[in-house]
Amino acid sequence: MIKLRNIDRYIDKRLQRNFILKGIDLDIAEGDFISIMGPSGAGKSTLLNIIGFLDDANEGEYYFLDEPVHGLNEKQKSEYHRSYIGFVFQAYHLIDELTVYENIEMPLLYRKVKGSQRKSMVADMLDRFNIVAKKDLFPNQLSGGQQQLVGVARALIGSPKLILADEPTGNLHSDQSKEIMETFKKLNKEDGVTIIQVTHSDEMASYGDRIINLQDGAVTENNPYEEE
Amino acid sequence: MFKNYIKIAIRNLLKNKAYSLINILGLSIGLATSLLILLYVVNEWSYDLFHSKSERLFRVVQTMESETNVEEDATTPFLLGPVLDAEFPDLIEKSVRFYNLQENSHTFRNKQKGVSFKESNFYFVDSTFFSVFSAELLRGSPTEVLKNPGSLVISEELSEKYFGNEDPVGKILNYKGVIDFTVTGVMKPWPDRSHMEVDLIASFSSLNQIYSADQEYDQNWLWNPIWTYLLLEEGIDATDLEAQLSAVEENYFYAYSGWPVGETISLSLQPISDIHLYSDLNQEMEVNSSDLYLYILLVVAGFILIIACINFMNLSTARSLERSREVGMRKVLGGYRKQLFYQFIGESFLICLIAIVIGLLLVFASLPYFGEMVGIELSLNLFSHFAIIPGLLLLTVFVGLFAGSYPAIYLSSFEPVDVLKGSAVQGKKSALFRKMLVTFQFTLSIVLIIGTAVIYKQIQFIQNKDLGFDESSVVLLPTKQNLVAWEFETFKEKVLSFSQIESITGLSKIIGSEKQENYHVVPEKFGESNDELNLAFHTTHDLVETFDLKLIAGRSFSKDFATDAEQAVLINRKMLEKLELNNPDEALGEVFYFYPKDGGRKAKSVIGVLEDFNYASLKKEIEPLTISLVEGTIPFLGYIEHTAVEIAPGNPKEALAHIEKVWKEVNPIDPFEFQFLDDRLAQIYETEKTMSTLSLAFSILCILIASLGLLGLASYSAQLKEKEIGIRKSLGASVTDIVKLLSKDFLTLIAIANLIAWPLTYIIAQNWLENFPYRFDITFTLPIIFIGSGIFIMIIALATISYHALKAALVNPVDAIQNN
Repeated sequence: MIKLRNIDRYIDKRLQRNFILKGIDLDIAEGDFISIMGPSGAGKSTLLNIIGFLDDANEGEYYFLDEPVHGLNEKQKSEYHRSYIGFVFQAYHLIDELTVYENIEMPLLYRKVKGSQRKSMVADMLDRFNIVAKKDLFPNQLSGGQQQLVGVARALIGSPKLILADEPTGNLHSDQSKEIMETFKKLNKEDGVTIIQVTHSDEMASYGDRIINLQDGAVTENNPYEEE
Repeated sequence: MFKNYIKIAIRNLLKNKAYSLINILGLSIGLATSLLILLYVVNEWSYDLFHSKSERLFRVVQTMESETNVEEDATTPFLLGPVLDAEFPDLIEKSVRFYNLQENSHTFRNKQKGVSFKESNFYFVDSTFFSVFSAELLRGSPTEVLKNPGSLVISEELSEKYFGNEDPVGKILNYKGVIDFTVTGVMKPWPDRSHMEVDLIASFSSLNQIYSADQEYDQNWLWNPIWTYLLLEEGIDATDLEAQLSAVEENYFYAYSGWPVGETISLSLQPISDIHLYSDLNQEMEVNSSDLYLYILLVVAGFILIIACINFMNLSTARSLERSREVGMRKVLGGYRKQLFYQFIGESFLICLIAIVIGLLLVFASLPYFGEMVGIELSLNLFSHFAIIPGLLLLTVFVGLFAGSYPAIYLSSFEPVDVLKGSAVQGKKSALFRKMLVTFQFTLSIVLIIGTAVIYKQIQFIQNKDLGFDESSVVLLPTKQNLVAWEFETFKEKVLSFSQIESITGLSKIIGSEKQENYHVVPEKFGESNDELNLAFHTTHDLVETFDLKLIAGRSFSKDFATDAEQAVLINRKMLEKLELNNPDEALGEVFYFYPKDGGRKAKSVIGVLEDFNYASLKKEIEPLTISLVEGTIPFLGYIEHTAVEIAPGNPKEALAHIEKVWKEVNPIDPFEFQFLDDRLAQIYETEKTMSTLSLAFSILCILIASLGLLGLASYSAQLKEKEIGIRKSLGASVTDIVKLLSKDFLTLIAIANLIAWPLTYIIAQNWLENFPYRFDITFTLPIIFIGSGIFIMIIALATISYHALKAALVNPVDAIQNN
């Protein structure tokens, strides 16, 4: 599904070139559940952003579903966001002025889904995450875990093939984290959704079936646990 | 989707109430001001358009030119109208003449009821009046009411004034004790938006009764007391007619036996709708306006709207951080940049829509006050014209686009990867742009303040300037063509019998006022054939005493010299220059030739020289002047158009009561009226005064809007620097340090604004002041005004910023640091 070849991401500062990512080669198949780990500043989020078309690599090639991504324009990228990719962020990034219902509904608005259909899709999602009672609340009226559930629901409503999660449990305590991870695992197993998450926690990483270790912008270990 | 946008927009407005208030209030005030100005300008532009045939209506005006003098008159000779009708039947449908006996005040009396009033809007008009102008009759038929001599049509209002509830038609109104007019019709009120006011009209044929002694009165082609209006045939171009007018000039004007040698005449046509704004000739019916002030007002309206829009831009971009996450998330969820742009533009439309509704409420609330300020009754009815509401919507869209497009472009440009990381997106570019906008706003505000100060200063200067005569204790009585003039010496004697009256004199024109006349007066020195015109006026004895004029040589008129009326003349210092004399005493005995209307020539010699005084208004330079005495016989007594009475300082009431008593004894026909000379002279500067009030009001509004914006920005910058302030305070910074930190940037911008505004206003002020021959010393006063305005705006800005700066500085540093 995802093929990265020799990806470089760097920032030029005066005479020096600072590499955030250097020479990344990565293959991810459909249905994978991957955890990206590594110390702060290793380039985890940047890698995730590149995979999610939010950031562009300076060098190298990226194929998504065998399409070259490096040639896409902004509008085409938006099309991919609408149809294939869902994002979950550490800080949830819900829109404060919209209710739970409206936050979940928003991706459907951009996909121009009809009103009645939209209603049933959002209702399904609320049901699935057990937040029907909260649908008219605003994000600041929810706990962190509940907000993240809404964030996941929003990512899922477009039935994406790929979910990118940047430290989804970074702001949550362990019970809430487990709930989110269980949800991811279920999605991965039952619906075959590909999941890539960035995490610091070994425990959270263990929900996935493959771990990629990053250090100083390079992949140091590809799936270290499998060997054990 | 649309619903979603509206929801977000409204929730955002409600969430940041202070910002929303500043934004909406600023825009509302800006829109309201612009609408008021627009209303006024449209009103001024629509003068005389109420005539259904206005595009075919023209006034004939004439220019008489000699080698030394050009006289442009709004009036023409008696017979021009009928002659044009006869000469160009294919081009002219009808003509209408207006004549007011060259008087501005006409006494009418209802003998039955014993009531009499003075009227200024009375004209003799041709019977074609009602078929040319759009005037409506409540009583009487348009074709009949002006048919017969002695017919009079009056306005509804006057009907009530003279006849109460009675039906006026068929009743008699006496005119000046000379003619009995029969009322034949009642008119609806004449619209305000006209260059003329009409309350009473009499049939032109009635003039034969008035000039019964001289049936040749209308044969004179040199005497031009008539306003002539033409209704052209449909499809006729005014220039076609103008091109053929030279034949009329040749066959009638130059052919006239009394035509002066060397004098040229040229006739031209003015569209009736242009008169109010573009005509400033001698003998205008009313004082007209000028389009220059309209353009200035439109520019000011534009300024204010721009300042309000800048507030909107600044606050929206400054607060972009709050919206940036939403932008990022929407993009991640598949929103195109275009869609986000539309969303933000939509929000600005929404705000503008709210602002225009509030703005309209403000307009309705302030309309009466604004009307009073500009001296016009203005009204706004949203449904009076089909284009008003679409026009307002168009304005909303325009302002929305103008104010909203930059923030929309800026906000929609955020990249998710930047904003979702949580790091602040304070684009340096947007901050610089914001600074430029703030500078621009304050530059405009300063330009307006300085402009106001300059106008105010000039008016003050004019009003305090020594005119060379004493205007403070003089009372004016209108005595043109009335019994007081005929019995002037009796009147004078009786008035002087009261101790509070110091002096009294008769005048042909009001000293210091705008309207002065040129006469055919020639110094003997320059030879007899010289046909030069000089300022001249007529007076009775005691002119010098009444106005405290200064005699620099010779003597004033005196009753001891019986020949003074026939043979003596006073001149001013300016005339010395013209006579090429250095010493005032040398001028004594110089001879001037006067050419009275009835023909012949009179030689008068100089008996005294007066120091220059501002005989005409301060809008004109002092010119060479001759003053001669009114001769004591009836036609000459007509020169006493005004009587000036000097009252002893103190309580003028008793003196006025005495004058009134004497007036009633001498003149039982005309009601007693008076005006203080200084009040009369102040009227000359009405336009400038209105401009000064308006510019004061607008600069206050301008500063208010700009300060609102500054308030918003200061609050935002305090918020942004909350953490920095906390750290600085914990490191020992004082409150003053913090206020300085927050104000420094803004005050620098305002200082720059001052530096831009000063040279700009210097040029504008200099240009404007060139209209005045007498103006305050700009090299000295302007820098004071500049620095004063600069300090003033700095103080306002500092006060605005300090509110938030102090608030931020007084916060406990621990709270601020912990919050972050």
